[in-house]
Amino acid sequence: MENLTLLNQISFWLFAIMMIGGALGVVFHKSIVYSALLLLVTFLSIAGLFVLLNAPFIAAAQILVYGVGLTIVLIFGIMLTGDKPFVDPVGQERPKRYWLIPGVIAFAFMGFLLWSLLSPNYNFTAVNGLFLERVQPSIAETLPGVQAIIADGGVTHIGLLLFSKYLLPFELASVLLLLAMIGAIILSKRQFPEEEAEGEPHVSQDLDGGAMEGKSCCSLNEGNGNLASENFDSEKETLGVH
Amino acid sequence: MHDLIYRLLMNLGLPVELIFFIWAGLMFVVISLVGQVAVVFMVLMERKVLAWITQRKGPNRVGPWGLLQTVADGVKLLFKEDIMIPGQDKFLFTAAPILFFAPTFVIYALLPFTDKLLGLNLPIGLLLIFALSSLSVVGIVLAGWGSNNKYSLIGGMRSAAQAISYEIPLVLSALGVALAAGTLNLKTIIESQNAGQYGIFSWYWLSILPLSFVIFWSSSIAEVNRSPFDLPEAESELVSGYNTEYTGMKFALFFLAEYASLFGMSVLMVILFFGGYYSPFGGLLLQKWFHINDPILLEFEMATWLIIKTYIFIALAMLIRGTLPRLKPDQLMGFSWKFLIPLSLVNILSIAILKLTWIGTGLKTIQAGPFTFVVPYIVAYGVLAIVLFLILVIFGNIFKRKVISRIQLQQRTV
Repeated sequence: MENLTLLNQISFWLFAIMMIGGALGVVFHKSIVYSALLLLVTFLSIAGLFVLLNAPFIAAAQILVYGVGLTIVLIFGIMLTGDKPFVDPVGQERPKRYWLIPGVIAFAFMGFLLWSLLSPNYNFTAVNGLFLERVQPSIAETLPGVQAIIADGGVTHIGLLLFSKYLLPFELASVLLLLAMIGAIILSKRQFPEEEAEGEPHVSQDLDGGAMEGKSCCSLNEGNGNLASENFDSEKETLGVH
Repeated sequence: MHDLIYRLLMNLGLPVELIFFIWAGLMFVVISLVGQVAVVFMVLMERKVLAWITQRKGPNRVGPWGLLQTVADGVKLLFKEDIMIPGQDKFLFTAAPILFFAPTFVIYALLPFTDKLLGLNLPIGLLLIFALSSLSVVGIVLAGWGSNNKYSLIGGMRSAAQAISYEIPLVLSALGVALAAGTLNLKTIIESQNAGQYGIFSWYWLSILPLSFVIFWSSSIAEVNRSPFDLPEAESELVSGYNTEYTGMKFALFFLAEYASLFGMSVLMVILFFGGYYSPFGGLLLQKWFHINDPILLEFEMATWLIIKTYIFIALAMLIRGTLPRLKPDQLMGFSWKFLIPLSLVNILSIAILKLTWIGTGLKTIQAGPFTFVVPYIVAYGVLAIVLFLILVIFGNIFKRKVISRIQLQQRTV
């Protein structure tokens, strides 16, 4: 920490305070829309910390992924809650002790991380000598190629690492995402035949091909357009309640 | 001139951090001024073009040929009352236009207008631009939510669905360019397009034609919410959508940011596919034909080429707005998910295959060289893409038929 310049130190504390304050706000704010907005603050601060660590690529990826993800959270918030607070502490009976187990696990994990970081055996270079220039310039200079890595934002290096050293975790993560997608398709398909039996004309329309895409469709879930329009219908319903 | 200012700041004996801040701030002011002026004239241009299409005269009262119309409108908006109706969430209602406006103007700091007029030359510029443009959607959704208005909310929701759907083909097609140039740095992308020395024929619109460019163009029009993809602000069905409740300067921010993002997207398209700040004859004309090497004059020439190309695309976007009808929501979604995304996947695959096979012959990045190289390359690219797409379509249709026949079977049994 001593080697950080003044500007970096100011930015670090700013981002850290914003991050922790935002995270607390996400948990404690009653309205889910505000929670989502505070989540955005948290993610942006994390991206800022990545920039301070000389990892602009990861910072941009963070903003890209969570910017879109956050929009979806917002939509869920709007569709599920209406203008009432997400949790009504007075009128609603909440299960009391559900927070205990995840809380204990989370704190145990945080303790483990802190312990491993603070232990004297912890060696920055052993983790990977990637983004160290500003943290420990003396180490960074001795590492060959670090300047070159920093010069292209770490893109090449991260790509190479992902497809060589960390190939297995990378593929596992993508399999996880694929599973989630297939699960979503199966869950929505299960209701599909009954819906079609009632509202018959959808299928025939799709067989003829929509106006824009012609016959070129090749998507797995061919009810996509219908799903979208159904979404809008459900919006209107929630709006009616609201 | 840049060196002069920089040296001046250094000689004042300020700390390096402060100089960096002043420098970045100065750059940002210059570039966002460029953006503001561009937007002011774009609004006027749009009104004139639409008037020309519909055989009207358009604004012609304020200033010569109505040139000052937008300035007058801006002044009017500045002095208008800021109306808030009861039931609105004050904080979100105020924060939304700022959240929408800020990222679109930060993007300007990343775009190379000339090789020196460039706020930040980041190695990951392209990625950061997409990240920022995805952030501004949050502003629209919040505006819809904070307005306490049904039409605004529907507009916000539509905008979110649309932005998420069209983000994917947009990023995938730009990834094709990144793959071809081998970098995410916008300046390097421009330089590697110009390295072919064949001007307009060595730009990426030709050497990775037609898919990347067409996909990028259509999804960028959708991304900036313009007709025919302007469902979030469809004035005839949603009373202009998410900005219905906004008045005065807040409305002006929305208005400004929309045009600013159109300008930004057009500049990005020129940078990715049309050689950025280079002339269509290869290199710079002043240097090549007149042997003038004055750096400031060359800067001016670069800026001129970039602005000309950008305004061609802006004019095309306005023509499209004047001619094409609006899509329905399901058509909008179908066009992205069923057509553009498979097409862009095919596109990436064929660029990758060509890069691995063709480029083994000695070129590091994909660039159109002599015609003997270009023509077979384009033919190979086209054939590959068509074959892959046909495979996708045929398999997709077989799968679709299976699903439909199964459904019909179930219907009969039911």
